[in-house]
Amino acid sequence: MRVVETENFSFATSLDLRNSDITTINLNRWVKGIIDSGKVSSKNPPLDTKPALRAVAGVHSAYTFNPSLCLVTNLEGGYAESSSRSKSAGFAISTVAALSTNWDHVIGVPVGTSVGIGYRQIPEVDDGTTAEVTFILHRFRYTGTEHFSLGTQFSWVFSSIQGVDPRVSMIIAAQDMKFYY
Amino acid sequence: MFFAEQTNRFANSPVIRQSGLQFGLTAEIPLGAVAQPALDASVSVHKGLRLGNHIFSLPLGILDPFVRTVTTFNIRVGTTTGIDFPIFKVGENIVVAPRGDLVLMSILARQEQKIKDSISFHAYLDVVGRLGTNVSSLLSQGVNTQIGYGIG
Repeated sequence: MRVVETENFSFATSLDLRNSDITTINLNRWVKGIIDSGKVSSKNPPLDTKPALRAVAGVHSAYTFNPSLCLVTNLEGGYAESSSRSKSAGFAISTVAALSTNWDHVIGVPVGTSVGIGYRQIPEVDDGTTAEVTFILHRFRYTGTEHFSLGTQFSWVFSSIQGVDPRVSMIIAAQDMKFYY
Repeated sequence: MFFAEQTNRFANSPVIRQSGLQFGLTAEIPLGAVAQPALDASVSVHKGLRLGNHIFSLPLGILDPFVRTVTTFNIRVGTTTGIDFPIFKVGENIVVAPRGDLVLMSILARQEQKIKDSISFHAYLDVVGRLGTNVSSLLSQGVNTQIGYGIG
């Protein structure tokens, strides 16, 4: 919901409710259970499914310094259940700040880029068992038309897997299409 | 400048309220040859995410302060850059593969619908899969899938 809008500034709030079903194939527990008990029992199922609910509220803003440069910020917080059964649910936040650059005004090429940094406690299955994630992102977008958008984003995600490796980095590439009506 | 020409063309275009796919078709036809509906003044100035004459390149995965109707599809793939896994013992055998990786893939479809000038509604569906690439990472992290949906 948009709250404030001026020529160069926009501020909005949001509510987001999400439900997920997370299924894990736990090979380690399953194989050990078979060896220990000699059979597959309800105590060592290979599949484990749990729901994960998330209800968060957010504030979002954008401020345009000039036609070529803009700052976008995002802060969300609320109730979030972990993707790991062993972790309890609770309050979690997520925040991102990014600089959006439109190169059309500078070099005449209809390409926009953005660079940003973020911090996330709200769990995603991407992150495994970790509780906190920081990430850096870099996005390219075709801006030659206002009716659709083609973009590519690269993210470098830094997290930890409890009891395994305290410093895990992941590179994620994403391709997106957006159609505006 | 190229940008100025683009901007003026869109600002004056009578097909500004049509979808991106429809625009792709009508753009091939001279505008004078088609029936031109009146331009609605209430059409969002954020079509294509514009504010202060800046066209945004917003990061994926975050909500933004703009209210408009937009359909989004995205696909992600990712990999870790090497994880040190513990040594596993399965029965009498020790599985030694101290380093391994996890790979990730996801797809998402999302629709945001503008209800009023300042309010929009969104719904989405995503599927995520994450699994190890060798014995140690499979034993440690298993195979994880997530099917999620949300509204807001």
